[in-house]
Amino acid sequence: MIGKLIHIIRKVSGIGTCLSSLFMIFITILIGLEVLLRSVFDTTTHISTEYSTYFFIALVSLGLAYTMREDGHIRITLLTGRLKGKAKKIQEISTTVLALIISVFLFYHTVLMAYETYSLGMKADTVSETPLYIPQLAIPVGILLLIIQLIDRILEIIYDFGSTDT
Amino acid sequence: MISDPLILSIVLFSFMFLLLFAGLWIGFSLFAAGIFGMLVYDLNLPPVLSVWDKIGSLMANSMYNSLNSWSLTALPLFIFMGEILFRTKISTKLLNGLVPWLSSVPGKLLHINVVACSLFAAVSGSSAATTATVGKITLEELKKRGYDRNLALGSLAGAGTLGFLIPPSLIMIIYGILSDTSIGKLFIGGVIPGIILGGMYSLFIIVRVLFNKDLVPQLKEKYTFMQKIKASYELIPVLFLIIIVLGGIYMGVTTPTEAAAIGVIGSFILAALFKNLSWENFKSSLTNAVKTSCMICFIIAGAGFLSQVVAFIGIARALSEYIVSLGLNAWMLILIVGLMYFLLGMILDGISIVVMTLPIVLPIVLEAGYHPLWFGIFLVIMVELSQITPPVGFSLFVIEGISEENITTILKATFPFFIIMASMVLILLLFPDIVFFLPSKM
Repeated sequence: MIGKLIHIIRKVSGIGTCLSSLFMIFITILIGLEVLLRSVFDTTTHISTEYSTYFFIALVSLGLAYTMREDGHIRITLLTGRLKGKAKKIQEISTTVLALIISVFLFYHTVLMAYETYSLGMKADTVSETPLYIPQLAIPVGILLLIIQLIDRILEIIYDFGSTDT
Repeated sequence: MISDPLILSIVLFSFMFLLLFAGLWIGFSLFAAGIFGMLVYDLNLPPVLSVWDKIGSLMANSMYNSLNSWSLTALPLFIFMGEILFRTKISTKLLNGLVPWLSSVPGKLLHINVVACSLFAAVSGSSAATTATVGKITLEELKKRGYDRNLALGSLAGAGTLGFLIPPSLIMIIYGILSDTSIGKLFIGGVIPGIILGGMYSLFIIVRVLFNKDLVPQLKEKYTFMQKIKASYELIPVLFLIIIVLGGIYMGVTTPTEAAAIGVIGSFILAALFKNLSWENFKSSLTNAVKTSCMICFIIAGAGFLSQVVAFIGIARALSEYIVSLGLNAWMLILIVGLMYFLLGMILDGISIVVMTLPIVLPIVLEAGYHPLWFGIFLVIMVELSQITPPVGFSLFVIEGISEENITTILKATFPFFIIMASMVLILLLFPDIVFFLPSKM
């Protein structure tokens, strides 16, 4: 059952990875287009700076979970690297739970931030007048994926825990 | 509840290091330390506002504000560019183009790491990428031809760190944003110190070889002038990239972020020309770039929140005032700052160090009369040192991975180059003009 759950979780965070990669490509194309238009055709996209920044916010937010899955977030393993067996698992679980609590807290408040921006009708002071809650929403979506990934991590450690004991 | 800012700062930073050593991810540790700081501080909030709401909104806003940055958008692009180039034949081309020229210099191919890293650093934003890309070809070649292993490993470790000093540079982008310094000027300011540092590495190799002829194999590799010129064609791809990336910034036509996007496109063109552009290569360079970018940006977001807290509860000002009250002269101050970075460099990576310390250190250093542009370059060299200081040095790990040598051998080989780098800090202190010369011509 847990295996199935982990499988579903992987699928979901895979979507985040794809979107994050897509935003990287969008940024490159958008800025490339802007440079081309400016230098050859003496015109501009008007939105290149603004939208590539939004894409960047989405890139980072949606990629957080994938980075966690691939052990890409760095930490100091100077002391914890020496731990073995049960102590290692306790350390892993407690740090992951702490990260999970912080993520849930951050998720709640980034949703609140986006909602407030939405209800105040805040718009970017640029030609596009993009409603700012749209780029802000990328953050809670990404953090939700991160939360799922952290739960997956805890499950994996506990699951492994049981199998080595028996 | 603690109201004395000095005690508060000690408690706060102890708590942060406790989490860091407990193995909590660096980004999360920074967020947790910020929350902790707000909780132990004597907040005077109106009763309608709970402390948790205040913390939460500060956290959400600083996360959004740290990421909502056009300049920071350059960061994933430069990382992406490095990942693409790592998977191309560009390092082989560099080697082929440089070998004929180096064969007539004392020390011969031992200079390959220095020269190839300097050139590659001009298209790469990080030390790890430079070390990995150049080292994966050169270490094997030098071994095959019978060159001294220690000098090969050491020069790679030393020269690889030029990735941060010679523009483009991820550290400079981050420093520029946090300190409100022109990233373009920082980039150009790093060129001369980078060349001096590379020159000192080469000088050291020449001196070593003059005293000990056994370090270089007695092979006779002779090249005619025409052969040298012909081989130089292999360098054209790198030079092409350097010109399109740095040329625009130097002439003021492109911003660093635009230059980064041009660099990504240029790298794709090269990869296609070299026939290295497979779907596998494309996918892995993209996902690796996403991973590295997210790792760095999450730390930046955490540090953004912590620095808000540090300012909010008055630690930043109290610490600055305290340092000023000690009446240190500018030299003493920079010495202490340097020592602190050296110690932090032992346990943390360069980018984390910069984002964590800057909110407190920068005002103190500026107060003492140092220029932000100069301090940026100083900081980059301190970060470079941290790349090769044990037990946590990212360049050391990279070299361990590609050379299959044990870490003790690598450390011994790296030590002389570490000393050279440290003396570069001294040169920078004595002759600050080497930083300002090129930017003033922009």
